[in-house]
Amino acid sequence: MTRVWILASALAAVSCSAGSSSQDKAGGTGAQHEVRVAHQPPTAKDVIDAVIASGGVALSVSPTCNNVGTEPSDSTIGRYLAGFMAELSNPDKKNWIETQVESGVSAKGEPVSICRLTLRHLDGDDRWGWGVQFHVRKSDGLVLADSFTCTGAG
Amino acid sequence: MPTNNLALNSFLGKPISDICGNHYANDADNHCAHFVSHVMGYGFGVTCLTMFRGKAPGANIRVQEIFPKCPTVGTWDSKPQDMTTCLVFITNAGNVDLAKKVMSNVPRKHVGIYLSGLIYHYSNTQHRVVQQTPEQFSHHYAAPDNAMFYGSLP
Repeated sequence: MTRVWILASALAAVSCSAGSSSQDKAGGTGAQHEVRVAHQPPTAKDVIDAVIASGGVALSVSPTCNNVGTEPSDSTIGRYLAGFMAELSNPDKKNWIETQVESGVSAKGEPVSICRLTLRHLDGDDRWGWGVQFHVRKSDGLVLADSFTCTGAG
Repeated sequence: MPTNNLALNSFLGKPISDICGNHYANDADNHCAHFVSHVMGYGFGVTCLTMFRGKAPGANIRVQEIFPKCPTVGTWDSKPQDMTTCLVFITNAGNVDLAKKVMSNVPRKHVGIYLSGLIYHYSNTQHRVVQQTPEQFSHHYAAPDNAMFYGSLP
């Protein structure tokens, strides 16, 4: 649980610090800087770190991110994920962070690691898994900001 | 698109793996919108095919994308008496803007198909399609997350 809240705080901090800039860059990715992973293929820690560092990416990056925020005003990946992390506060419920990494090819044909982070919650029919998927370029470990998509159902 | 209880009854007891030809059937995911969309043929927005490669027609998987597609929406109590078939949504009333026809992507929201006095929906706890009366359905979530809304069929 502690780890979840550290992640929530970090994402919120990234989102706050990038908030005004990402608003100004509506329609773009809103990325503030290049993000690279520490290992290839990325570890679970690398995937989480990359998402934290990419918190300022605008939800307009993909149609799959349309209206995924828990509030209509949510405009970044950071605010979107923070909204669901804020729902993980009950210590009696089951919550976990799921990461997946597999090899693939980017839209430009580059070899990439396809990374997925999912926040999961299980409490009877209150059951969900919302998150993001993105690409990490294998040649240099760059997180491709325009590759972000939002995953989840319900 | 099933128009009678007999057709909908054929789904009762089935897990989503028997309904989704694209194999998007992780029990840790929420399949309420997914079930409704396969039955009703809603292929708009983010679908099971978006999330998972398959060969069957894609079905929408997000409640907040189905809600605004309904031609008319309103509180359950205001449902026209002659409307014997519609969609039924349940969530916190604060998550719904009826005037703008917007539902936020909050965790506790659910959708089913209302037909002639019964509601058919996917129980994510039982991992199968169930049938309930509106009164039973109103207990799907505890208050205050149990406000019910109708939506005429998209």
